[in-house]
Amino acid sequence: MTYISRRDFLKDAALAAGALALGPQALAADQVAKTRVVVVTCPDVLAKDGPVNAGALRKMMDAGISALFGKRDVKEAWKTYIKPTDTVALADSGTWLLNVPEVLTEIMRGVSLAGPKSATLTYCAMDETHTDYLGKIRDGLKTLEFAPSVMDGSVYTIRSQYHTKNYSSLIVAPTIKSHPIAGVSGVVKHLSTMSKGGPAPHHPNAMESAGAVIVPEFGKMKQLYVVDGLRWGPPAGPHYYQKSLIFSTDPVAADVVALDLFLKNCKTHGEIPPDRHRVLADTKYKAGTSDKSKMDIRQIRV
Amino acid sequence: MNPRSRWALSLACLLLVGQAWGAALSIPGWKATGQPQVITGDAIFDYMDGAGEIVKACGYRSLTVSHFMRPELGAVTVEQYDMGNPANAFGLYSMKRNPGGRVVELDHPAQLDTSGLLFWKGRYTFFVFPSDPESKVASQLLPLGKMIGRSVKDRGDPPDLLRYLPVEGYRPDSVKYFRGKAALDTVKFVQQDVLGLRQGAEVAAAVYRQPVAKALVARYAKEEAAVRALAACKRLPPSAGLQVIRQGRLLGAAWGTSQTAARQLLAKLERSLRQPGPPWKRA
Repeated sequence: MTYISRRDFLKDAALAAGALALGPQALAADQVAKTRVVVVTCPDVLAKDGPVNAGALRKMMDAGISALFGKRDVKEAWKTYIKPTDTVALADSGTWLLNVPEVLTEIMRGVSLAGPKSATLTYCAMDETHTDYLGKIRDGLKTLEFAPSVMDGSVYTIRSQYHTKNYSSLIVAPTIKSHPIAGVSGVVKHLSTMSKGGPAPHHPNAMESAGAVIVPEFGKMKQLYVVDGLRWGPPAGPHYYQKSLIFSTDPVAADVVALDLFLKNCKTHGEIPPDRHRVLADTKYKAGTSDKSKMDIRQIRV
Repeated sequence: MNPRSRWALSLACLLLVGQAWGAALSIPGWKATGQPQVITGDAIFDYMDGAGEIVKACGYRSLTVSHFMRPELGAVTVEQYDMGNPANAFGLYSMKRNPGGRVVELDHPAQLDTSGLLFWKGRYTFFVFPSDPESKVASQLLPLGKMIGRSVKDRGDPPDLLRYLPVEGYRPDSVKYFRGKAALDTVKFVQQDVLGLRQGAEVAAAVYRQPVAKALVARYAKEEAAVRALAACKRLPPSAGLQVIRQGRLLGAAWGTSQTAARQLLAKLERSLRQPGPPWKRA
């Protein structure tokens, strides 16, 4: 894992952007082959029971996206991923361990910088009981001058409707928590929850088949994962303030790196092996890479 | 299905729903807000996703979710699980409690933390949690639990199966009681259903301080099922670390950080399978 300062990061981003402009051949072979995962951590982004430091969160988001796509300019970084013809869906973490609302509004702000054809925040239908949470998101989006209609609770239902939509780009922002059958929930488990069959068929054996849905159901869309690691939690709420965001276009890589961070301070549920369904998502279902030697993991502190 | 069977099934369903609705709570001094939500069968997954597997593994019959409010304190949600009998009610409590969590005394030991109050009485398991953990209601969960507990007449006892576990060296509040592989996975993950838990065997599993190891006892409806489970466990590779014995319809297993610790605990387990202790009053 590489630790880089903000100054080094900007230098690196500029070099990477230059290399991309020259074409893939200009990049070293190992850089091209490795899956990039960016971990951005900021000690000042929030404290227990305290409000989110909006400025710090924006710096985290901007640094993560820029490093992921190798662009110095944040808008250009988002434009690398999102094109004007894109219809973008952002999916939240669903209920039990809710997102920090500001993480979602910051992602929506970033998406809007790229000017897609449309952008929708597809929040989990089960969030409807969390009126405070949805209210904060609505208020945040209103401040950023989004129309109320960008929020849609009818797509991310349990047995979801993503397969009936024609989104060209999917952004997923899961939280990470200990989980009674997956051990530790995360990106791969979350995608099974967002699948058209729902998560129940994938429950047996520590959710070993969770990764089966990724390529068939979401493979036609461009994918971006922003793991909301500001705080890790047991199902009922946060219990460790990690203060990190994890960025990748590879769901498995993002999940493996997030799990590593989680296990430094938190535990799996009982004796359930939390890496099992993540590794199978790679080795059996070919949905991404779980091998850290094949990842280019960047650590950024802002 | 013949007409008589269909009629019997319809009646059973009606009785089940009636039982669930009959269990709807009222709490003195608290105002119910909205209609209670009654959940049965696989609808549990729409309410709690993967955690529903554990609830099912403990034999739930229905879940009633009610909301209450006191303007000066705030709002609470009460999850009332009808588990059909006290053993299963204890089972769900045992699966939901956190290791090392704060134990408080109600009719049985209960667990109270920032997320809520978890307790069981009679055939019911309750989880009471504040809508806003920062509200004043969070400090009122214990008296609220006492009031809710009064609505259940019978106290109930922990499962009979627990008395087949060794008592010496047992880590208090660690035992879990369940039926089903999803629950077993949380105490000992083995990919295959080697214990044959899909057939409905009941299991009690506990943590031991001396020796540092874990043990479980499974009770099957028929001895042949225990024989099959023993054979399946013995086919596991040594890396699984599971040591097993059988006594009639009972299967005992031990595992730990070392083979020696597991062997020591298995010897204790063998004795308690042959000569079970008195029923556990506190678990």
